[in-house]
Amino acid sequence: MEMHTPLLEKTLAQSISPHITARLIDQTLETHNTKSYFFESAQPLSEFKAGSHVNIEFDSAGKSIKRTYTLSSSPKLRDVFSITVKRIEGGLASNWLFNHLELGDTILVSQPQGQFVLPRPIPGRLLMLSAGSGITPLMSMLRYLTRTNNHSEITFLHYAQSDSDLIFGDELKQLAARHANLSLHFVVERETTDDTLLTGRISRENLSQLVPRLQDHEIYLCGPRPFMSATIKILDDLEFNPSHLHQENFTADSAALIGSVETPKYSALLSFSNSKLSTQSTPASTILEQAEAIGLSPSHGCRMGICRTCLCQKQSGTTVNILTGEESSEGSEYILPCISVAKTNTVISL
Amino acid sequence: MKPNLSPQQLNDFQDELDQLRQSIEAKVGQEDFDYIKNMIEIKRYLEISGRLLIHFSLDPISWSLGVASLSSAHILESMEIGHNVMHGQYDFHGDPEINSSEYDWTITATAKNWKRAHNYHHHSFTNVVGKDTDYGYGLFRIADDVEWNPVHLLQPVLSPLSGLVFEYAVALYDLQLQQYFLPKWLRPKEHAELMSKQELAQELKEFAVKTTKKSLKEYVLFPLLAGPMAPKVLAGNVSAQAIRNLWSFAVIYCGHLPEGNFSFTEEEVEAETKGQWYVRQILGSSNFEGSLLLHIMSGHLSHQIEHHLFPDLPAWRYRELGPKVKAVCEKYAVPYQTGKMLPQLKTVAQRLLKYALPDRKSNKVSETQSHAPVTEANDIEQKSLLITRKKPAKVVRKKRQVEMAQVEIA
Repeated sequence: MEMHTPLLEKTLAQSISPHITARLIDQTLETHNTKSYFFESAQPLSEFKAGSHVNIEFDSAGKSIKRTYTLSSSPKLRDVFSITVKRIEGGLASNWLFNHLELGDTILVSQPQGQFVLPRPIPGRLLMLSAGSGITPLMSMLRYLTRTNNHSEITFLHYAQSDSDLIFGDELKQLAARHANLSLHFVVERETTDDTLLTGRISRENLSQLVPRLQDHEIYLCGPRPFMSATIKILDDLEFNPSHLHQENFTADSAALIGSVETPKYSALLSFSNSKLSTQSTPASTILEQAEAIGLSPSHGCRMGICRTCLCQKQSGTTVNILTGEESSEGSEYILPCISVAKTNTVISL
Repeated sequence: MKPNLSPQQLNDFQDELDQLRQSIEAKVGQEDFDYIKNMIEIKRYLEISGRLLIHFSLDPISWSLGVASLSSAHILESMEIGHNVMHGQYDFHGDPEINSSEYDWTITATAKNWKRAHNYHHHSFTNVVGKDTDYGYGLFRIADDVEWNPVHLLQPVLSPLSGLVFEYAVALYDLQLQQYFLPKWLRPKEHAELMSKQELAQELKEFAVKTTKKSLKEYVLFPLLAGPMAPKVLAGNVSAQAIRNLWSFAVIYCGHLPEGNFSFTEEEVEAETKGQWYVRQILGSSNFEGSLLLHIMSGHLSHQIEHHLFPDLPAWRYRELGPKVKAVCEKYAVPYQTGKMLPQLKTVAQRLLKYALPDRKSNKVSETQSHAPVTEANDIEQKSLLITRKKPAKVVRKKRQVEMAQVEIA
């Protein structure tokens, strides 16, 4: 992975704050709880690679809301683009988009960025492996590849809860019918009457049967954390070369993030040196949320550790990354407050 | 017609070429180090003997032998040593004398300029019009894929003349000066990405510094050392450089421009796999056959195909790789272009003459592969977007403030 100095990281993060005004020109209900939103902007997005994401910003009840979403459209189009959003129960942004965004409305969009993108040259044997709304970056990649002269052997393997949860199902079937190099498999958890679908969850047998010569593939993996963990374990068991696995941690809401890892009961004093404020930290809230709770407005974007807009300096104390469970050192370093909780007394430059 | 391999065949083709590469990589070591060091040694002896013969010659024969020896040294230095070392073929050893980041050859094109234009643009985008300037479209036209421009009328004369001063021509051509200085109507439409004027000025400055140093050494210092015999030494040194230039010109023109080599569009190569990349390198390159001496004096660019497949493997190994690569190509029906040097050059000359003139009739025959990217109208995503765009963007602005109050907050 490309390494940046902390200073450069900060600069990069600042450069992706939303600034393009995009107007909603169409929206499509992909499933009962997932919508694609098509936007048009006078200023096209800068060139990007399929799999990139953008930060979007809109006002809700007088409050500015920022979130990160993967572009589901192909990078071939830059003045018209789409994001595909699954409605999360209790999720502020997804519900607002679902209920209130209407044709002609505008939102602010950042320039695309991200590391979960296809390399050059494109791998000759490609496995796109997704579950739920983790399909969006892979769909962008597939839309891109099928609009070029690419000749990869592509296996697109998607897992969903039921046949009514299949996002982009029809479009994928049409693409597979037109492109002989695309092998498409849908696997659903619940019983279905559709005999083109497989049933079950991801398993070692499932993967080995559906993907001949698995070891020769470059794998692009995106989905909810339990799916990702299960897949990575299977790949480990199969001794799959980790350098050929590319993954995007994909979780839509920080509340879900917190709940997804086992968090011991920390109790520590969290201090913000620039504002001279402090609060008693709790593992149920991220440092970003606690800063906001005491009236600070730190810059932030995705709130799930992807966009790095919130990157800030921790002067002292140990923090825990709620995505990985990894602990920081005690000394000064840059952290992402949107996915960090304080384990010991911690001082943050905010 | 370009071959139309299936995705599976392309992957199998790639696997076989990767295996060939691995079989050579496993052998690379002391033998390669000794080989290139020997070449450097031979080049030194040839240069010393050439300069001494030119300096002390009293008759045309010894002078001519001196010129032959010195020009051979120059050819070895730029082709077998400089070009290949700057590709990083001998970086594995760690000796700074043969390290790509340290080496700067005696040709006037600076190593920095060359490594960018050649190692990156030419080798990554081989024969892609608009990306690889080595395909000639900056000034020349050898196929229908370049739009005719009045400047192409000059190519039957300009091209061979540039051979005499090839090192200068290459250095300046890679900077795409024609795009900055020719009047607009005379500028070819096709060009690669242009550098800023500041970058160009910097490149020109570095070129001028290197050229001046070289000229002072070759055309002032060495002649002056001969005192009254200075003109003889000057003539010898100029001749040796001109011979190196003409030879390089001939070898380079044989590499990618003979009849039978294909060009490519940017769209065609946009999302290619390694297998597709291998096929393009082969379709865009030509080998020529000959003796061991010919291979060495061409820097093994007589094996242009193998060089383009594996530009960082020690070039003398291409002799071993050649028949194996050819066999793999035959297995997959990928055309492997090879022949004698002069007939190959003849086809280049014919193309330069033929395409100097505008097309008589609009019977453009595209050599590009038939399986072009999916047209936009067929694309489901594009289609849905186009339909959407035709709709007037009906701005439904309801009382947003009221709605905002209804937003469910988590």
